[in-house]
Amino acid sequence: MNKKIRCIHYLNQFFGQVGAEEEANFPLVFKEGPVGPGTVLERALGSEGDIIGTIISGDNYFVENKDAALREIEIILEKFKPNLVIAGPAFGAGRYGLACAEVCRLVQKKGISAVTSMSTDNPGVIEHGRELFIFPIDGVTSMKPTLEKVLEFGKRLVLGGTIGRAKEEGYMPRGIRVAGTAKEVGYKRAVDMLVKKLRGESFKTEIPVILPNKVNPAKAIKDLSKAKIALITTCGLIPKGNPDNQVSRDPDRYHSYSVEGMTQLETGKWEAFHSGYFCDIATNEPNYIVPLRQIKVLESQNMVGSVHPTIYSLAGVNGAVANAIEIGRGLAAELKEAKVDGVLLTAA
Amino acid sequence: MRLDIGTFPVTEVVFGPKTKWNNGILEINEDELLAPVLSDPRITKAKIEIARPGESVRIWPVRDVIEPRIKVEGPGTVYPGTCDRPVTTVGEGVTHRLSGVCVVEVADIPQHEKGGDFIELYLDMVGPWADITPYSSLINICVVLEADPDLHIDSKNRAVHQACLNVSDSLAATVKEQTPPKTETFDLSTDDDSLPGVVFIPCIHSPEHMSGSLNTFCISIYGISRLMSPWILHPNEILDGAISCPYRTAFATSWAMVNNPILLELYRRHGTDLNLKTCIALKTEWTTQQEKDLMGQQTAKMAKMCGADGVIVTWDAGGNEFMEVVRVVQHCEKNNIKTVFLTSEDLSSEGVSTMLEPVEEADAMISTGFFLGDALGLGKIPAVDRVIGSPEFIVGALREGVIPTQGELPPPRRHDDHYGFTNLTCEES
Repeated sequence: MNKKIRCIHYLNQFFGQVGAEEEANFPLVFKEGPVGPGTVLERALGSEGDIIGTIISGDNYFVENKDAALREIEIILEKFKPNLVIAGPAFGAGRYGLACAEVCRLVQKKGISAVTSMSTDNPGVIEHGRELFIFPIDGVTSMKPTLEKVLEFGKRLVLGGTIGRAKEEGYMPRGIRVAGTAKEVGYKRAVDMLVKKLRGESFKTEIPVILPNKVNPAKAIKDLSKAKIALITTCGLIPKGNPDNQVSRDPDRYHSYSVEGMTQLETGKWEAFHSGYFCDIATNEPNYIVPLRQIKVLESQNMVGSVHPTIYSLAGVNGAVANAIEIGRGLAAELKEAKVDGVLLTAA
Repeated sequence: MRLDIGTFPVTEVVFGPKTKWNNGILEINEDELLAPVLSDPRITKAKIEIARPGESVRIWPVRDVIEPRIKVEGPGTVYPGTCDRPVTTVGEGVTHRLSGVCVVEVADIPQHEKGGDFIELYLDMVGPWADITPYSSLINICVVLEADPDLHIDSKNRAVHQACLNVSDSLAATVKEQTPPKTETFDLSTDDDSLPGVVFIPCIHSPEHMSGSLNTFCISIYGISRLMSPWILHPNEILDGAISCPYRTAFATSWAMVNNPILLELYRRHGTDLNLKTCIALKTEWTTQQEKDLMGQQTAKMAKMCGADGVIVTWDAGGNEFMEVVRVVQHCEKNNIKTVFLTSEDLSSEGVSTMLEPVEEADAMISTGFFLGDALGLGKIPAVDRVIGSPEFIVGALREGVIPTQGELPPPRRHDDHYGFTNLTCEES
């Protein structure tokens, strides 16, 4: 029978049977075959595959030499070509948990399936829980059943089986929102939550507040008279008749239009199409939402170096944050490529 | 302000010689009901069709759902202000209602013609979409209407809505003189000082800026849809229909406001767990950050002045509107008012907020699931045997496609259970 699973197991110095805390600086090594808890995996794999090797690293060594350790692991992955990496379980050990998480992140980045296990409050979960499949584990006695569960799940990752939701599979939720049903109807839950909040009793909010990542603004333009400026709008500017089928809401892309040689947006050739504001004003005067005429005047007075000959437009309505991030990334990359120094963004 | 609401349950609707309610059977004479409707020169076509729970029926396009109610004692008219009805303050005296039945306004007339907004709601009486809309458990008396195509959009809107209010009024009039089988009293005149004060803050869309008109027909307060400073409404005013008319979701309807489950639940727990103080309705879709901040602060201030220790904040739809809604949540918390925010969620992606603007103060949220119909995981909504309304269904972001209404359809674009009628939610995975 064809052995399908080629698994590498990651362990720290303790579970890798090198030694306890005094060996925490033990450098990273690769040993062929299973070590310690890896034998549980090997047995559970049976004829389906092998633990082709075990990576062992001291807890301190990994944390203090993280980049080097990850590079060493990358070389091991390239050489032995596993299709699955299992790390840990790390239980509550912070350095070990972080190492397991970092290893799994690298492995996933290389397109290889990865699963790990640790306690729910391990720093590895707190730092990288949203990016990884991590199975919770409590006491050492649960090592065997947990590893078997992790392996069974990992096999399905490799073989392309169905991956169910966190609560069905047992991995820790990764911050992906999925449709579900509650025991009670919404209005009852709302009033119950309010009464609890007023009484100072504990309650659990149903939507986590995920604050946006801070984006550091680009450095100020030193000399505007030498800068290339692009115009972007989320006000839904479209060429008359909407030839590109722009949508007036829920955009999943931006649209580019050449304004090369133009000194303004001519009324009658453009329209506004946006389901969030009264568009007639902008249709009657498109330079109101994309101030090409005004910036061309500044260009002619040498106050602005040059105007990027392409303008970008979409209707910024109902855009889910997830979509908006993707659109923004793509647009920023295009502007960077075109060596644009600054952007005038008009939003509705 | 005391309001007694007498409920007359309807278990069956039949066509007959005379429009009357008798022991749960609502008999309707279509000609009699439609006579005032068809005498309106703005209306060119009108008919009534019935859809019952469990029937394989689809209703499209649905503009509004109305519960037949009538004032029996006390000032004013139910659903005041809309379509030129009197604006007399309501909420006092006796109101009768028909339960288990609703009037569905069926017409292909958008509220305005700007910005690509149009009617997107259909209702099914059976199937996965029916399962998550409250109307599928009611007998739907559908009024299918066409208005004179030459009329201004605002006139068309008022004509078809008035037609449905006429039908609703006539149906409710059948029980005006009768003794209700069940009466519930709504009275907040006594407070228990040991209990916390609670204010309900429904945030309500205004079409003013999008349509560019002050008079656009849409969800309204005493018939006024435009942007205004927050309204203080006695809960009884809402029960008499002070907030009525539709917006673009299945839950922003006249029916959903008079049956608002949050308001009714707060009422039922008045004197036991809390003192329900008042409602503050905030009109939304202001245009500048300054205005949005102002509305958030003023709404919170009013709630505090009304004795709120806690509030429940809801809204109806739209990303623009969400900006002032979260400001309300934020400022209530800053004013030491314990706040619960009931909301739906936007599309999900790994590690990214499903809230358009997440704010730290929103630490007590109830999720009623994804607001986009496609994200609910219902798949295609199965074909039905019969269609009430238009046989053609419009699909596509630009309304470019036409498919048979009777066949398999995508779910309506929005679900948006913004008052918590269902047990839908989202969970982490």
